[in-house]
Amino acid sequence: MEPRLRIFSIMISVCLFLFILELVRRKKLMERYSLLWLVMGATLTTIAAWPRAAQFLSRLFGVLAVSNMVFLAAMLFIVVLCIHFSVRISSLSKEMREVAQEIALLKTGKSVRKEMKS
Amino acid sequence: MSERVLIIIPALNEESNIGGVLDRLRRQTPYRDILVINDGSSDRTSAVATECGAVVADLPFTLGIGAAVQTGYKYAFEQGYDYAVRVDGDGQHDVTQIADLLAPLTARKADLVIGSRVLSEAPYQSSFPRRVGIRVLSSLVSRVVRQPVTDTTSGFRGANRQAIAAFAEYYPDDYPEVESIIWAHRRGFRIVEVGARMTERTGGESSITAIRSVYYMIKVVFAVMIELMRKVDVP
Repeated sequence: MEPRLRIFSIMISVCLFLFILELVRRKKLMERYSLLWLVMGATLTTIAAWPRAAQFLSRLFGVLAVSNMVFLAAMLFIVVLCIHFSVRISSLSKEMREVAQEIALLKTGKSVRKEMKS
Repeated sequence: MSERVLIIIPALNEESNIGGVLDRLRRQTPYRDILVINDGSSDRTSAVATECGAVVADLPFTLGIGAAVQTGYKYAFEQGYDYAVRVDGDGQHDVTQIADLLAPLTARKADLVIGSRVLSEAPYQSSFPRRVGIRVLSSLVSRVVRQPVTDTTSGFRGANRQAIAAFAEYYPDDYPEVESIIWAHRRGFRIVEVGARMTERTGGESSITAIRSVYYMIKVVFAVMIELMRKVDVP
């Protein structure tokens, strides 16, 4: 890889990794997401610093151009992540609705019957 | 001046155990302030607890043990309790030992007290993978907090006002028992362990196989590392 590109991609990867680290530090990410993004950041930095790894993987999967391999992997990662987010947003919306309804019902001031589910 | 103690009982689908726990608390201990946190149970846990005279907080859906316990700490904080002791709703903890948990707290020697199965005279009989898991976790956590911690997953704990305030504000989610020890240490809280007898869960086969123990431990190790990275804001 051209030296300028390599330096540039290493710098970007490291910056991204540091950014993720700072998010974890400030408790903006739950543990499970922290781990995911840290691994992603580490993988990205590894590929930037050591292109041989990506070359090996692309040969393993029979992909001609290394860049295609990297793009393919990145897109798969993003698609799976987006699906996960959709699922998570769906459950969050459901939970929000339940909380909102509970608040509205509490505001009526009438005592709550606890045995709703049985 | 008498200091107020709150007993926090997180419970998820424990309709067959919660009555017994509350009954033992009433007959064998002097503590009358009890909060049961019903973590979205689908059975009659909440109704049974209310019948036994406990204050019950019903979470609208299941949030997990970390959030349930934190709800208890929030209540303790808002109601101005001096100490909060957690007893699990499944009946595994021996309520007569609550006084043992409170002793280091009232003597001002500790901020967080953990009831350790390992330190008790009657050794806890659990499966081999579990015991190995407990030992590995304990050595990891002991190294991190630079003091011996023998039972990192015990939920049988006592906290004083400062610890209550801190936990009400932040309590970890994924592996709360282990991570909270790390966090308490980083906040500068004094952690002390006392021996505590616990009984094996009476109902249900243990689903922890050797493979799952290893998988669980790897995840906990990562969670511990992440907990170490988090920023400590001390007010």
